Parts: sequence; C-alpha cells; structure tokens
Amino acid sequence: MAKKKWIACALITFVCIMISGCWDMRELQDRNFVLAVAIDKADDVKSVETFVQPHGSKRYRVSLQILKLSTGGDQKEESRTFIKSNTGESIFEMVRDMLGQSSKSLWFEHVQVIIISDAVLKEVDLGEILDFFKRDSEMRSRIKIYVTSGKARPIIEYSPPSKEPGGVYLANISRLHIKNIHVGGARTDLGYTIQYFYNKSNVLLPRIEMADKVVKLGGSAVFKKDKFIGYADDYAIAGLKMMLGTEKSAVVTIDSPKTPGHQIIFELFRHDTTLTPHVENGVIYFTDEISMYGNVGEIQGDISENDTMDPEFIRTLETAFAEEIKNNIYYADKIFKNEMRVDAISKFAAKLKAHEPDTWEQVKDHWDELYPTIPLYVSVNVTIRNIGSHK
Amino acid sequence: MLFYMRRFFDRGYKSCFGCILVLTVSLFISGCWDQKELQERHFVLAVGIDKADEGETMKEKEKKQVENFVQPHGDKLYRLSFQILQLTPASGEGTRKASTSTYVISSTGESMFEMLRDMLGQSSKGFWFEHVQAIVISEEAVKQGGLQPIIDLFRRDTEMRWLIKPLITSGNAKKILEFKPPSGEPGGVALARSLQLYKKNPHIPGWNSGLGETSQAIDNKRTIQICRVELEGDIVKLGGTALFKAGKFVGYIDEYATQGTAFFSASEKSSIITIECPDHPGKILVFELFRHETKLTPHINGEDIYFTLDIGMRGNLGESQCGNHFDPMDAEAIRRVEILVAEEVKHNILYAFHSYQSLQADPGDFAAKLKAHQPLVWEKVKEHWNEEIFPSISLMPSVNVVIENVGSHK
Repeated sequence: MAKKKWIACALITFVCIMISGCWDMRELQDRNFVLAVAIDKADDVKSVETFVQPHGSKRYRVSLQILKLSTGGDQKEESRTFIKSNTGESIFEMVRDMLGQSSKSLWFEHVQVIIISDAVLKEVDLGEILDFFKRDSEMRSRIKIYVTSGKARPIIEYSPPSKEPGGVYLANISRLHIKNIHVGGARTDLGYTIQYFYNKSNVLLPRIEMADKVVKLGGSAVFKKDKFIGYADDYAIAGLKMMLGTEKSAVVTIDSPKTPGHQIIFELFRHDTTLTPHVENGVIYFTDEISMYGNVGEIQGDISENDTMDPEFIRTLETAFAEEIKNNIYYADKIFKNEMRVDAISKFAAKLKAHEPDTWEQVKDHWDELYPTIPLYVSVNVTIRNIGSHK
Repeated sequence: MLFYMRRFFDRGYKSCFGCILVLTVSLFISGCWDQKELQERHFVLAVGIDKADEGETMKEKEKKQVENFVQPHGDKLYRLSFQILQLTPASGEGTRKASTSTYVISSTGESMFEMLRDMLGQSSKGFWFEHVQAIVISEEAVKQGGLQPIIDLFRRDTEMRWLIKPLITSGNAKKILEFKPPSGEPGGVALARSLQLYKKNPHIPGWNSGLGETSQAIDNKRTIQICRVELEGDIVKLGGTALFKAGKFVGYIDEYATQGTAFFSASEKSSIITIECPDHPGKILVFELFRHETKLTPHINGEDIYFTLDIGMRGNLGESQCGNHFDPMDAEAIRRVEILVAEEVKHNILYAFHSYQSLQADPGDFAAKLKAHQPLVWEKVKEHWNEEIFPSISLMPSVNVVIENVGSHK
C-alpha cells in the first residue's frame, strides 16, 4: 500500500512538473500573423525572392501581408503591416520558403482576406489556387476572397487612412454588404466557396479595385464552377440580390415623375421574395414574386412639387419604384443569361431540383445550355411606409 | 577576575572582527559601484566581413581615409562592419516610447581584433559582443584566405557565444547589415531567428548552423555547411548552402539540394515535397512530411563501398492543384501518389548527393557512418576520401511514403 502511495506521489509531482504550463509558450509578438494573401501572376521574378523548384513553373507570385507588432523602429510608423512575396507554383512550398525572409514563423489563423488577380484566374481554375487554403488546418473558413482586375499585391500594400491593419480593413468592407447593395458579399468566404465547389455549384466573388489611393469593393467576379467567366457590374449585382431575395436593405433610385432630372430614393427595409419554377407541358419558366416595404429615403427635387403628403403621389412613386426594381432584375437576368451564360450561384438549378425533381432529372445534364433559354417573369409590389416629412 | 577580563576581551575581539568583516563586505557588494546601464553599452548584433576594396566609389575612398589606421603588419585584406544596437530609453515627457534601431560602422585591415579595437575610435561606448547574432561573410572575402582566419577571433574570444550564426553572401555583407527588416526588429536578430525556422523551411541548413558546430566541423576536418543569404532591393532571403572543405570555399548548393541533404542526414522535421499530378502533367501536388525514420548504412563488397538509405515517411496531402482530375478520396489514387512522392524523394536525395560528389565534398554523414561501421575500411580510405573515394561511391535510397490525412471530405 505504502509503495503505491509513493508511486502516486511521484507521479503527481512528475505530472505537475510536466504540465506546469509555459514550457512551450510563444508570445504574441513572437509570431508573424499573416493578415492578407495576394496572388498574382509571376511576371517579374526577382531571383532573390524565389527558389529552385524541382517541379512546376514560376506560375504565381504570392504576397503575404504581415502584422507589425513590435513597438520598435521609427517613431512615425506609416503602416502597421509589411509585405513579403515569393514566386513558384505550389503555394505551400512558397509559404515555407518565405520563412527564409522572415524571422518568425508565419501564422495563418488570422488571415482575413485572399485577393486574387484575374490574370491568374484566366489561366488557372479557382479551385487549384484555393486548394492549399482549403486543405490546411490553420486556415479559417471565414477568410474573404476577392478578385481584382489589376495587380493584387498593391491592394494589400495599401494602408488605410483609418490606420487599421490593411487585411482587417479589407475583410470588413464586405461585411457591409448588408447595407451596400452593390456588393455581393453574402456567402462568399472560403468556407462557402468550398461548399459551392463540392456541390458543383457556380461561384460569385466580390470584385475589388484600386486606383491611386482608393480601394473599393463593388460588383462581382462570375465563375462557372471554378472557371472565371467575367465581371458583373454593380447594377447587375443589385438586381441579382433582389431577384434571389438575398438583400437585407437596398437603396432604389428613380427619376422623379414630377420633376424629371431629379432623383427620388426608396430605402428598402423588408421584403418577401419567392422564386418559383414552373413546368408546363415540358416548358420550364420561373416566376419571381416580390413584395417590398420601405421608406422614402431622399428627394432631390423641389419638395413642394414632390409632395409626399399626397397619397396619390405616393401611389405613383410605389409604381415607379416597382418598375425600376423590375428593370433592375431584368437587367441582371440579361447579364447572367446572355452575357455570362451562367446560373449565378446555381440558385435556379437548386429551386428546380427542390420543386420539380422529375424535370430536374431530365435536364440536369444539359442545364448549362438550357439555363440561358429559360424565361423569368418578375412581379414587384412596393409599399411605402414612412415618408420622413410632416405637415 | 583576570579570567573574566580575558574572556570578555576575547569575545569583544571576535565580535569586533565580525563587525569589520560585515562592514567591508557590505561596502564591496553594495552594487552599482561599477554599474553600466544598458544604453551605455554598444551591443554588436551582427558582424559583416567583406573584401577590403569591394565595390568602392570615390566618396567611399575618401571615407576610408578616415576609417583607416596605420598597420605595422599585414595588408588591407578585410572590411569589418558592425551592426550596433541603438537603445533610446523612454523619456518622461510626452508619449515618446522606448525604441530600438541599428546602425553600421566599419573599418579595414587584416587582424579582426586590431580592427575592432581601432573602431572604438569611431564609437563613444565600448563594444559588447555577448549578443552578436550573426556573422555575414562575403564570398569574396572568404575566397581570399579561407574561413578559418575570418572566424578565428570569434572562436577564440571569450565574449562570443557559440550560437552565433555564420552566413555567406555572394554580394556585399555590409549592405546586408544595413538592411532594416520591415518588422522593425534589429537586422541581426531577424537573420538569426530566420535561420532557426529550419524546422519548417526545408531550403535552409539550420540544423548545424551555430558557430559552435562550425568550429567543430573545422576541428574534425569535416565539410562545413553554412547557410547562404542574399540581398536584392529591399528583400533579404536565406536559402541554399555554401560548402567549405578544409576551410576553403568550394561552392554553393541550391535549395533543392539543401532539402535533399536534410533527407539523407535525417535532419528534417517537416518538409514540403512537390510532384507532378499523376494524370495531369504540368500541374502539381504537394506532400507535407510530418514524421520520418531514416537509416543510412555503409556496405562493403570487395573493393566497392556503397551506401543504402532506408526512409519511411508519414505525412499529409498538403495541396493539390490537379483540379477535379484528382480525387483524394480514392484509395487507389492516393497509393499512386505515395509511390510518386517516394520517387521524388529518391530523386531529390540523389540530386543532393551528386551535388556533393561533383564538389568532391562529403557532407560528413558518409565518412562518419563508414568510420563507425567499417573502421578497418575507413583506415584504408581516409587519406583520400573526399577527393577520390567519395565522388565514386554509390548511394541506393529506398523510400516508403504513407499518406495519412488528405484534408478533404465527402
């Protein structure tokens, strides 16, 4: 018995020593947090940045934006981040080789955003580029993915005037998609994109552009499965969001019926959107029924003429807004059907599969060819609740 | 009476003695009499050694007039540069924070010791070498007289630590010292720390990177492997290895061969191995190594010496750029990838091995194994091992790869 007690004692002491914490501690400032990743085509290979590759070519230039945590250095810090780049083909290999430029190990747990230049996407499928991020356990699913028509590295080099770290700033822009109708930001992060891949669905990713010192998110890059097709503009994205009912809020502008040349704005608060597939005698068509409730947001014209206290005038406005929303949706429909020929995020396919599984079975193999020919009928009803003026 | 008096006196004498001792000791150990504050010291963080007249302009020549001193012996062989840590203490007024930055001073001469003592003429405070992180040596300088004379001072002096990292550059060492890392760290610290990341970065030889290991290699007459560092524009990068045989520079091996070296000396902790996709040439697939078991054995067959290398590797599928053409859920496909990765590792090992053979420099592993396993054979060949025997021996690697996780789901 006594012997057992001794063993237990020794064991406890031993365990205490081993688990006393801190033996593998690593302070925050000893980590190099990667905040943003930019993927460009490797146009200009600097020999010192790269390495001898046993396989593959110099396909990508990967740049990492790293958070600067040390207090040292010059007193007047311009930026809170710095950039490291490397060229190669395997992103994993490049990341590991980049340690040769870094004094601390790279941590990817706080990556906020991946920015991909479309020059790369024109040559390589999105799935191949994102494979490393999807497979590695350090990556979070909530990393935002943007596409730019220019170079990606200058965007992560940009230091926002608010003095936030660039990556955090960039990722937070897309979170405002709820208020900004021009950004298709819902379900566009790494996790959802991978889900789309697995579901063999089409993908939309927000487009980011930089000119001089301005960085702006707006419009979307359209992918057929993981192949880059082109860009849909802000207006088409607004239309698509209203068509699919994914908007939370929207601002709709019309020309004032009473004072042409001046605008009146409708602010959307709540909506009810039903996209329904119909099959009649083997012909497929979709109807989109939308009811919208909101306020008059702004009147640019003369308010004595645009009298919002007049119920008659409000009725006219409601019809005009409904007309405009319908136009917007048809515009988006035209872009995606005629120009892109892509069922954006495969929403129509999903609806058809859910409501008309038998028809879906027949058409699913040639859905991509069929989709551009399927008509969409939109009906919109707008109700104005508050007008923001009083007698 | 007398007895008591005597006893009292004895006691008094002893306590008196005790008192004096305590007083003296407390005077001496009261601290601060030889205090020297941190900011009063010039910590040398990195040392750069160049050839004395490398890349000079007229202006620099004028500057050299001042930097120089009259040498009783020797030539102007080397330019010694120090990267010195500048400590600015936090000051009370305002919000000024304590900050660190570095600057570089240099001198030319032959004896390192003489140069550094003469450099005190350019400095207001004494140099402290206890925190030297890295010694950057330019290829030109090391070609002049070998490695030994350059690092002799650093091996001999008591202030130097054995963990100082020697590095070789094909460019100018002083420029690398002048480089300020964007992270705001002092340059010397950044270089040394970067070398410590060898566990994750297979392109640098970090496993025997200290001055201690280098000294041991010199004394054991082994081939010395020193990491290469290069500067271009505002980028400083480590990658590849410089080889020295008997203190003489023999050449560089590239990142790929450095990775291969790690495989046969079993010094890798993690590694990234790329292969071409099985059905999709031109695209690549990546294996991430987690665990390995490596055994290098010498064999004798008559006059022939050959080595076998048995490696078992376990790891994950790290990245697949094969698109939809490759399905990692398919056990058959994974099997094929395992075989391809094993082939690639073999190729990498032989690539590295042949790099060493063509430079006639044994990285050390082969001689050591032969000496341990076949001491009699070693006695016969040791005289001309590097030049004649090593370049002609053969290495037969056999590699077995197991992929454990694939990082995807159904």
